[in-house]
Amino acid sequence: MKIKNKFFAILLFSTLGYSCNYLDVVPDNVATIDHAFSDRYTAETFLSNCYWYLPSSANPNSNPAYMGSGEFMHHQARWQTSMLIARGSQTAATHLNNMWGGGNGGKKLWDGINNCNVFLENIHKVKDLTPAEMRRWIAEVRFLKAFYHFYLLRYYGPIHILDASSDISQGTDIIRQERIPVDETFEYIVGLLDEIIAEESLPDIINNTREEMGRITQPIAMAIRAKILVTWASPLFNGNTDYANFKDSQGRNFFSQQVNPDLWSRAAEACKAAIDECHLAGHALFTANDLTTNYILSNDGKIQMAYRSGITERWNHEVIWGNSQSLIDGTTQGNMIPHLEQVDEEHSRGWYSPTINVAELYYTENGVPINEDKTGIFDYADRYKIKKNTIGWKTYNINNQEETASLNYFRENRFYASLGFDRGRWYNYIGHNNWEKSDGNAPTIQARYNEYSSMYNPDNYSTTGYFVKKMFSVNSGFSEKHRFSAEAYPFPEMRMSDLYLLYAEALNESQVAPNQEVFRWIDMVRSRAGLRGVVESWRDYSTNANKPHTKQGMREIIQRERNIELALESENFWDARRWKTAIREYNTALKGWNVLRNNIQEYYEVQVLFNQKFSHKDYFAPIPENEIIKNPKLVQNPGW
Amino acid sequence: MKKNLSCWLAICLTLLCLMSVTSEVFAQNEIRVQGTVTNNKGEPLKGVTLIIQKLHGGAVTDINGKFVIDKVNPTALLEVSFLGMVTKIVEIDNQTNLNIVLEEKMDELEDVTVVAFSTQKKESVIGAITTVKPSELRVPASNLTTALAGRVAGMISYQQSGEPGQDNASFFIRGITSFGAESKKDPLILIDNVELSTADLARLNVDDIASFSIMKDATATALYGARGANGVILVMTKEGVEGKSKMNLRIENSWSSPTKNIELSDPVTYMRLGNEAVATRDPLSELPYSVERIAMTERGLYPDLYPQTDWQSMLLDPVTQNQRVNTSLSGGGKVARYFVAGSLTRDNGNLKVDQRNNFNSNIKLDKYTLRSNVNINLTKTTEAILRMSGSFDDYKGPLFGGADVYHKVLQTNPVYFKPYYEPDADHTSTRHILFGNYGKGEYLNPYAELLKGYKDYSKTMMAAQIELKQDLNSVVDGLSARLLFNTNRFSEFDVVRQYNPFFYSISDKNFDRITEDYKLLKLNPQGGSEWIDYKSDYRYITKTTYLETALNFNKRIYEKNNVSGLLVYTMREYLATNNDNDLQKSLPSRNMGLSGRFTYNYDSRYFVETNFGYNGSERFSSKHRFGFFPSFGLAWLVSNERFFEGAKNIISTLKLRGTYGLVGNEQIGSADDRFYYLSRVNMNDGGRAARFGKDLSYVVNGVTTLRYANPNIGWEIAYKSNAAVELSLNNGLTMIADFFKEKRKNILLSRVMPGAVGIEPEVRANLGEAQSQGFDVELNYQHYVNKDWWITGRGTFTFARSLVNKWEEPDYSNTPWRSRVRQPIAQVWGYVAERLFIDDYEVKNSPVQFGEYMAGDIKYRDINNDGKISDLDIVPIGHPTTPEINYGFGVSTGYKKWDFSIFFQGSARQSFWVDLSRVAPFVNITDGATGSNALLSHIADNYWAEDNRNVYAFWPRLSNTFVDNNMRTSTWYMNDASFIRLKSAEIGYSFPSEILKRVKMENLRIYASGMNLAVFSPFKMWDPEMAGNGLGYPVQRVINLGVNVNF
Repeated sequence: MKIKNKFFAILLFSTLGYSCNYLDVVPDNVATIDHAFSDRYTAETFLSNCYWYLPSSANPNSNPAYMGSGEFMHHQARWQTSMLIARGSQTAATHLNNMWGGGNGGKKLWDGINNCNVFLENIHKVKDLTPAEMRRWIAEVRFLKAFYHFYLLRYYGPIHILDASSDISQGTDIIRQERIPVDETFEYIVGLLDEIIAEESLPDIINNTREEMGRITQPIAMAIRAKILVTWASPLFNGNTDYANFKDSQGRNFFSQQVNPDLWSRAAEACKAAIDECHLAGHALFTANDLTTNYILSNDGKIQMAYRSGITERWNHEVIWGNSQSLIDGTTQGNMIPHLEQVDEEHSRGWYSPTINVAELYYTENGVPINEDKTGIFDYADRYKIKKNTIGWKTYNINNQEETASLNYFRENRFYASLGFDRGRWYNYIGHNNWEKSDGNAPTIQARYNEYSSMYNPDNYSTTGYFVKKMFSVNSGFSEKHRFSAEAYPFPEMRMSDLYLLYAEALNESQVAPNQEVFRWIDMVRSRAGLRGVVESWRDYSTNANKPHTKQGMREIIQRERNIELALESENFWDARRWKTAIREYNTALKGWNVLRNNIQEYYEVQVLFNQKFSHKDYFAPIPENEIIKNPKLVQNPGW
Repeated sequence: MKKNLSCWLAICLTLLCLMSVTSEVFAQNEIRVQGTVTNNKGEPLKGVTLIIQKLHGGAVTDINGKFVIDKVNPTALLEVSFLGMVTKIVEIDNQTNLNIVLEEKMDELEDVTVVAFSTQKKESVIGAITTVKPSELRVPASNLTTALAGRVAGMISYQQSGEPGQDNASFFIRGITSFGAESKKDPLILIDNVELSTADLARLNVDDIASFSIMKDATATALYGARGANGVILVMTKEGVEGKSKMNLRIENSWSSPTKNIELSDPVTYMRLGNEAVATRDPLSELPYSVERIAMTERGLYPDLYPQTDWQSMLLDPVTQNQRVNTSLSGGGKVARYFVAGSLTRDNGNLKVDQRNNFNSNIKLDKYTLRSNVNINLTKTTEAILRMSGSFDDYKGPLFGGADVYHKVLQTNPVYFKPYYEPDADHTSTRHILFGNYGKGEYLNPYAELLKGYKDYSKTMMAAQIELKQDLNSVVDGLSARLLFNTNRFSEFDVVRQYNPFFYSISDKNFDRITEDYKLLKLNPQGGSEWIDYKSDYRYITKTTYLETALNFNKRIYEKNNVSGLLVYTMREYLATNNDNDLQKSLPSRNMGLSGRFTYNYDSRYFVETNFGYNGSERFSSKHRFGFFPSFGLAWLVSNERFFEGAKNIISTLKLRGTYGLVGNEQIGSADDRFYYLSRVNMNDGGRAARFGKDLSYVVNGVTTLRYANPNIGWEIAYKSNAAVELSLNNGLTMIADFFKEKRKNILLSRVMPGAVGIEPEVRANLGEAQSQGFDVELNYQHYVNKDWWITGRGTFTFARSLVNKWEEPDYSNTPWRSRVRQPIAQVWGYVAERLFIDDYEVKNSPVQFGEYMAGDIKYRDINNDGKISDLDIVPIGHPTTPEINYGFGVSTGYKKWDFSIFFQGSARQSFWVDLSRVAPFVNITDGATGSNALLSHIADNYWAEDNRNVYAFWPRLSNTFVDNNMRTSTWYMNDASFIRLKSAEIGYSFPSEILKRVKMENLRIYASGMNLAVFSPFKMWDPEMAGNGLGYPVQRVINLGVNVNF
């Protein structure tokens, strides 16, 4: 009996024996954030994370600037988020392309910044990175952090600085941050970039091209710093008295009320430094001389192909920063090109529709605005009338005996390189039926209703009668009748002509009157497009010959040059805002041809497709309403 | 852990100190004793053993129950024992002739209440524990949970589906006091002391239950520390009783049909209103139904070309039959006792079966259970109990379940096509069913959906348990120990087989209007298949092991002082497969804890009890891993006081009791989020890849942080207080009324993180606080009118209201009506609908609402007067979505061999919202096919029309697409879910024992019963208990015939 009791007692107590570690069920090596920094391989995945937040510039549903400027139209069935912004559908309650809290096509950039902070705070734990490599990665991530701040600043106006990783157990008071004056944020961003650039940890040129093309380089950092400084110096941010009553809780103005001219000089210096660095690294404009094709091209054709190549050829030397996180891929290019012959094929959809407004932007053959050309080659008053190419004018642009609007004749090469239109040619290095052999053989678009380039599916047609040729890669096309082959390329965030024009602008603004140095940089861009310099062109062809010689006149010329050179590249959206010209430019009727008509007379009737609306509030996106509810310290932007 | 052990040892030592041993020695002359042993009916008992205690010798009775013992000490004690009888100690006390009467052993649980890890005398229980007689829970259904509503004081329960296998009721003890999104809110369910799931409780057979208790307050649940915060349901199964073997057999057959059918309008009205829905929104658009089609359909001409399909009667049977058989065998001898039970139930769904398919796609759920409880006396002081049970569900049914069939029936166009066509000349030898369809075959045909395949699933639950009980009186008087080891294995899998139906249609061109011959057009020649394919997708296997050791002490000291103590140590591990390859989910869940109880009462008048639970859970960081949950209670049995003597002839018992204490809840997040103290990352996330390289082909995946580490997350803690009155009157009425208040702190909730913080995943913290309060009352009445007629009555009433006390929420200072604080936990926020817009002029001159809307659409109130209806205008509307009141009452009566009982059950203070996406007529909500919601008669009879501008019509202006404006949660579609129903009624007849004796039966009763026989409610469209789930598989009304035999 006693023995049994003892046995029982032992049994009882033995259960307690092995309980010490009973609750430690988690084995070692469960993946936690620390593991992301255990070696070079995993740290690279975290580096990916930091890059992942780069804007999806090539996606019209994610990039507000893509169609938000009104350069494109599209028919109603294609509701692209950025198009909705152009149409005035932005609201604080349903924030389109929400980069603040994420959603409606927007990536949540604050998360991107916090990821960068986590990276920067942990990367030193990685043991198998060489010091040089570690310095380079740190510089890249700091660049990204600065860039994300800049993107938010440019989009929303005042923000705050998120310089260290957030702690999830912080009290409500700390996590509810106030917005701060824009100058402080600009100073922070530029300071960060100054440090990165000064320490020269970034490569000038990518050596390991197989794995690293697309990573941040010294030229990128310097060119973006230049763009940021130009943005800061621009009227939207520099002494913007429209926001005199827009203040933080301490009564400080979010926007400076005094124009600071030094910002322009600082911008000009940064542009020059960037240009020099880019040249050293081998970046230059892509000119006709850089073409390597054996096909037979007219001189104009060469200029057009060089211009297109500088944008669309993968990793060409003109592109300073190709955003490899966002590609202009086959699908996107299929949305640009229409059918070029009678064929039952659904890859070429051609519904990105540039407006007549953009078509009218380009210069005449003489390199001056269509309403200023005094030579008479371009009949401004009758520009919407139909004209037949009876004289054999540049048949590589419009074939002999074809009829199209007068607007489409006698235009500069960038017009033909950028836009496709009814009875215009579409040349690419890829083609069949000997299309590719010479630009004189290039197929003709036939876009009147029921013709092969018109509506294929109910959703697939250009609603304006224009097509985007510019962003369509020179190396894409129809290799056979039914085979559409496209070369994807990284979205060009920054290219040389952009930088030159920024420099010209900064110089012009920082001086009393334009000088040769201003003309030099804009003329380089014009010259690549086959145009003469500003001074000569205006002198010889314009009704306003003296325009280049005043600061104001030159400002307008530079702005128009930018609008043309960078058209359809998501630049106009930001430029029109920083120049504060949007209120003028964006309250206009967006126009197109009457594309649902077959009869030529009816087809070439101008249709108002939409009356674009822009009010003062639209200079900045609204802070999402739910963010203000979550953080009542956030002051909403005026007007929203 | 050392703390644990030392605590354990300290208590042991204390108990040893209390040890007292007494022994007495006697020595006298010897006498001769004789006598008879009978039972309480005076019948002599043969074979009774009589043993002289502490000495040798004894005797056994003969056939007449007589015995003789020679040479026995005249003061000796005789131990008289017999199988199935209570052993009796008889003092000889110099008597030479003894007539000894033995009492039959009664069920031990009659006088005691099952409490946590032990039992206590009923009078000494201080905690709020409701015990329910198992027979109260018998309803004609194979699901125990459906019987709980209204029968258990303190429980809020409701059932929203009647589908076999999916018909578990939801139940909460004293309402829901936690609002953590994924935290456990329902009670801990213990069957034979082992934690099990609702499904296991649902499968329990009432005939196997010995006791059913619900523990509600801190004192009752504190010992379950970590897991008891939401209350505990403790069920003990029957054990064998010493005696001859007894068999119980029950057979039932029931007829089951929906309590209420959804009423639909006729096809012609459907088409007319379908046209109106299109035209009223856009007069220029094309109408879906031609004048000819409507006219032809109305006249009933050419039914093959202009079909009218009543999908409800096509797919649903009005009545189905279910069977249940269960049997048990129990008995045993001195050494071992056994209780073995088995049951078999078959539940059929009410879906129709097409004879041309060789498989049955109706629901057929067979459940088998087997249970064996064996008690063995290993020694005089050691008892072992072996409990084995298995339950097995075999299901065969439609691919996506019964509710899906009900949904599809109400999403299908009634006039476009027939369910199937009879073969035409071309298809006389076709081997498949010629299902009907329209267009390119993209329309929803629920008949094809039902017949195209079927699913099998199987669930198996096996439990094995051994319990050792050791009487340690020899060490310390009143001490006993217990050890229990249990393991459960559960497995589940399903298998799916299906073919792709071929669809056919008839067009006007291929139809001969004279002969009514037609030629079928095959719509999807490539899409269909005649053969069946197999698909297996789901497997779920779990194991649980549980160990419990306890030391029990119980002693009366100096007559009036009763003390008892209990120490329990438990360990539990649960391990499960997961179907999403998640490491953290694959780790075992573990609990361990040391709990204790100390009770003292003085003279059965003053009672004190204190409990504690010291529990650990693997979920928390080492800092928060263990929680200490003490509780304390007092009771005063007033009726045992001397001054109460005078009132005793009216009031037999009056007891006042009160408790306060803490209980924890560890199950506060989802299974994915068990380890809050660890970060959780996806180290290889293709969705976060970055792309680089000359060829754009160097892709490096990114890292996603799914959760940041938060080592501060810990237990959710309930602070419970309870006060109660127990009253029994001599006229047979008893009442127990409990009043409770609970504060719940540390509720896990998501923090409000502004976007600018840059934290991607949701952040959780123990920031929420809630409270609940209410009362539950139980009334019982028992009265014997005369020896042939008895009446009992029973009623329960539960009121529980929960409020949010603290919530991290955005700043609502400008719109205070949006704050959740001081609002019920299950509160709904929505717009206040004023009425429908009168005309377009009013639309233009009212605050801006949502999307496109016009006259006849809902007009909302602009709460903050900002000229637009937005999120800022939503206010708390209606009652909570779970009822705040549950009640039930019923009477049973018997006259001679007849018995009759009736029970009503009700619920109140609950609102629900019609599921607009399913109710909105003509709209397509079908996934992957074109459907069209049915037109409910209720809508067809009462909607806003241009020629009948009723601004208070039930349904606004018709539309064939969702009108965003009308789809908002608002008071317009808010309904009162309160109801009272005739939950059950039963009439039975027991055959007289004289007749039964001849066939060697002890008892034979036949009975007819019914469940959910009638319901009374302000809501008429469907059974109100289904609330927002109204168009699902309906709750069933059951008529049942049964027979119960005992051998």
